[in-house]
Amino acid sequence: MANTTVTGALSIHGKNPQFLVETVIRNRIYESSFWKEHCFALTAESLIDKAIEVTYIGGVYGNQRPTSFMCLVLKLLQIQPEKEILVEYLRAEEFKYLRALAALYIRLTFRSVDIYELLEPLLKDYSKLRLRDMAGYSLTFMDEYVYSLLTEERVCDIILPRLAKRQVLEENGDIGPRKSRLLDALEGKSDADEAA
Amino acid sequence: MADKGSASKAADTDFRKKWDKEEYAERARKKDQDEKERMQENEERMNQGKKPRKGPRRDDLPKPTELMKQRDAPLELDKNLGKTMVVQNPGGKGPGQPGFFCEACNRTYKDSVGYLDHLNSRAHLRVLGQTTKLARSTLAQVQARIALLREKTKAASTAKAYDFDQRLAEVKAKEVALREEKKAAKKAEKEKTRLELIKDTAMDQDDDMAKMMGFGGFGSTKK
Repeated sequence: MANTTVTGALSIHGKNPQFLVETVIRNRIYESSFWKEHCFALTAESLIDKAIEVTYIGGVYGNQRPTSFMCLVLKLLQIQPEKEILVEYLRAEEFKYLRALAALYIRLTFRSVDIYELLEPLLKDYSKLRLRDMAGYSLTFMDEYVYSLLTEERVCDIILPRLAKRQVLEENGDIGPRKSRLLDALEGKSDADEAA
Repeated sequence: MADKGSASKAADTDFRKKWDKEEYAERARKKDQDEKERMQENEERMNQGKKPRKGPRRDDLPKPTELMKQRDAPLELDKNLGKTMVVQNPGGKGPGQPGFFCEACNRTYKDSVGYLDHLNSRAHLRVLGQTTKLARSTLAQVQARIALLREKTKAASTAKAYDFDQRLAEVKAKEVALREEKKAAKKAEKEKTRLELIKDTAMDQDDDMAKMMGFGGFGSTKK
């Protein structure tokens, strides 16, 4: 009852949404005191308050101990808020850990087309993120983190579901061609040079 | 032993408490009735293959009305951390025992994990009057919340920058005060040692010389 997915939830990638997190890590989260004390009866609204207090992203650290970031990811999977709420989370630019949380949830649950559309604007964000893993704390950036979400298989100790290649989606016509920020910046510069 | 009935006809036993025999007889009868019903029910259940019920029926609590909510106040699980307390009656129940006590359900738990599990359990929520359904948040609520938090963080950051100068002045004043204190303390120490030194030397001279010569010594007696 405290750990069951909310009634009426849709299945993600064919299974219970909470199963996107592996069994071992999921059970460690259920037994952690952060989950029991702070993540009980959280709604999409009160989750924002908890997400703001997060100071590092990460999977597990120390002796297989889950981070609070991880607990909040599982909470989001459990309550399965609507898509508009997730987009709203992404739009809160000052709260970068809330954004990182939303980015991970989107990568886990949305369709490929939506993932590319929603996460590519985040590649412009250069803010720093603190990453905590078994080797201790390290520094990463929001755009590095989003890039790893789009290209790698495992982020924050979660296996990411399959993402269709961008080329395939472009050939099918679901998505427009990739707009590179660098290209825009270069074009802007070259225009300025020519004018000058 | 045979005359037990006619023993106490004394008049000075009026201070003893008078019990309402009827009421307690009634209560005992009701209890027996409940037990009988329970035994009958248990027989039926055994016949059906189910396990017998041990305690009284637990339908007394009203159906819960509110949806599951977060706890309002922080739990403060570590407020007694590191403290030593005296236990009033060891082996009893109640808030005096070591561990975490839940007043609503009258249970103690020896560790925080068990206590938290209880607080999140169905039985406890029932006592509080909450169902196990969670309220869904709407988009409007989320937007409002984000806007509110944005305002709050902005206000906090501006408040900090605003009295930066004031805080600088405060810190300086504190430093000066600290230095003054140290100086005063050092002075007091010096005074004390000086006095003691004088007393010591005065004592020595008084003892020896006074006996022999009749006067205190060659040092000055000026303080």
